[in-house]
Amino acid sequence: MPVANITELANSNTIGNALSAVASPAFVKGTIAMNHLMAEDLPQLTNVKKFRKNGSLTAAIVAEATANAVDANGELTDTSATCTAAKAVVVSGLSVEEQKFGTIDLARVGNEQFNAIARYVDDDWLSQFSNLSTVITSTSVMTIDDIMQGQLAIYNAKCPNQEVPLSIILGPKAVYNIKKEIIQSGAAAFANSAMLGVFGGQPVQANGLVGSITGVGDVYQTTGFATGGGDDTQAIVHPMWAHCGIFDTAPVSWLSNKGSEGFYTEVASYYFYDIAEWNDGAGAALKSDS
Amino acid sequence: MTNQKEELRLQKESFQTMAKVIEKETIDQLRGWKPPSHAYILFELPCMYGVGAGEFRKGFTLCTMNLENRPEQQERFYYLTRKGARPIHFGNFPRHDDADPRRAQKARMHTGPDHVNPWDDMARLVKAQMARDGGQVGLKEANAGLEAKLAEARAELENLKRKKVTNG
Repeated sequence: MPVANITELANSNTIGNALSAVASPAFVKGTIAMNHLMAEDLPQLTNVKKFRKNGSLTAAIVAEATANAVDANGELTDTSATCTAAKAVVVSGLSVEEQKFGTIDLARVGNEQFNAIARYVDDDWLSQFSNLSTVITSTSVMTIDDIMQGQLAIYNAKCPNQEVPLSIILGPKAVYNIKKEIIQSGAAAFANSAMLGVFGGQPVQANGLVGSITGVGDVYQTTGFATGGGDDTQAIVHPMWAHCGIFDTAPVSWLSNKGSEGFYTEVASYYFYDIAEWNDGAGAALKSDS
Repeated sequence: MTNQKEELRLQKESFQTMAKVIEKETIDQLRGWKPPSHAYILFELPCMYGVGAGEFRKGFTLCTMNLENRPEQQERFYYLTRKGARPIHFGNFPRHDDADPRRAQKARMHTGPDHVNPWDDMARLVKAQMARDGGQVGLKEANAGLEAKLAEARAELENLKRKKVTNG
C-alpha cells in the first residue's frame, strides 16, 4: 500500500521539457519577528525560563524627628513572564525516485522545512498582538495619527529606553494607506525629505522594513495577523521590552531511510522556542480594515 | 469604526458564546464574528481604547488563543486571566473520536502515555475558569439591574418633585 504524503517524482518539475534557469520562490509570508523582541538562548536542564521584570520603590517626605516605618512604599517586588519551550516540527518523506531522477533533493526539503518553522514562530508572535491591553482602532483604514496614539500609549506607560525607535508592524493594506496619506498630505510634505522616510528608498527590505515615520518609529510590513470584526490586529511595540522569547540555536534535522515502509527518506526537523508578552505597557494593538 | 462595512456587521446577530456576555461592547464585537477554523479559546479582554487627541477610554476587546498545533498553553492562559481576560468560548479542539480523521489523528498524536488528550485538559481548565468568572458576571449583572432600578426610582422622584413644584 502506498504511503501518503511522500514527496514523489510527480511532485517536482522533471526534465520532460527544458527547465527555466530560475524557479519562482513560493509565495509565502516573510519572517520578521526576531528583530522586535528580546531573544535569549534556551535554558539548560529545564524548558522554562522566567524573564524578570524589576519592581520599583516609592519615596516619601517625613517631617523632622518623625519615624518612618517599613511600609508598602519600601517593599520591592519583582515579577516575571514565563517562556516554556515547545517544539515546532515538520516531517517530510522524499521518495527514492524523486532523489534519483527528480529535481527536489534532501537539502531543498530541509531548507523548506526550516522556512516553514520560521513562519510558524513569526505567526506565533503576531498572534500575541491581540493580547495587548491598549487598542487603537482606526475609523476605517490605518492613519499616521492612529500609530502616533499607539506611541503615546507606550510613552504614557513610562516604557524605558524611549530613545529606541518603536517597531510598527503593519500589513500591506495599512502600509498602503500610510503611504497614501503622506502622498495626499500636500506639497509641503514632499518638499521636506525628512517626512518621506516611510518610503525608505526601496519598497520593502528583506527584514520587512518599509521605512521610518520621523519621530515615531520604523515601519515593517508582513502578513499573518490575527483578524476580528473585519480588522487586522497589527501593533506598535518597543523592540526591547514588549515581547520576549527563548530560541534554540538552529532547527535540527534528522534523516532516516525507510525501506519496508515505502522506499523513501524521512526528513524530520524540529525547533525549540517560545515567545511571551513581557510588558503589556510596551506595546499597543493597531486595528484597521483588513 | 463607522464605515458601511462596519454598519452592516453591526446589524448581524451576536455570536452565542458558552459563557454569558453582558458588556454591550463585547456583544457588539461578537456580531458577525466568525469562529476560526483552528482550535481556539475566545477571551473578553479589558483594554484601553485610543479615542483620538491623546485620550483613552476603558473598554473591552476580543482576543483568541490559537491551540491548533500547541495544546499545552496553560502558562499563556493564566497570563491572560491575570490581565483580566475572561474566557467566553472555545472550540474546534481535536478529539480522539473526531469526525474528521485527520483531527482525530492529531489528537492521538498529542496524547501521551497517560492517554489524556491535552486539548481535553485545556477544555477542563477553560470550563473551570468560566465557572469561576460566572459568579462575578452574575454579581455584575445583578448590580447593573439594581443600578437601573435606582436610576428609575431617582427619575420618578425627580418627576414627583417637579409635579409638586408645579402644583404648589
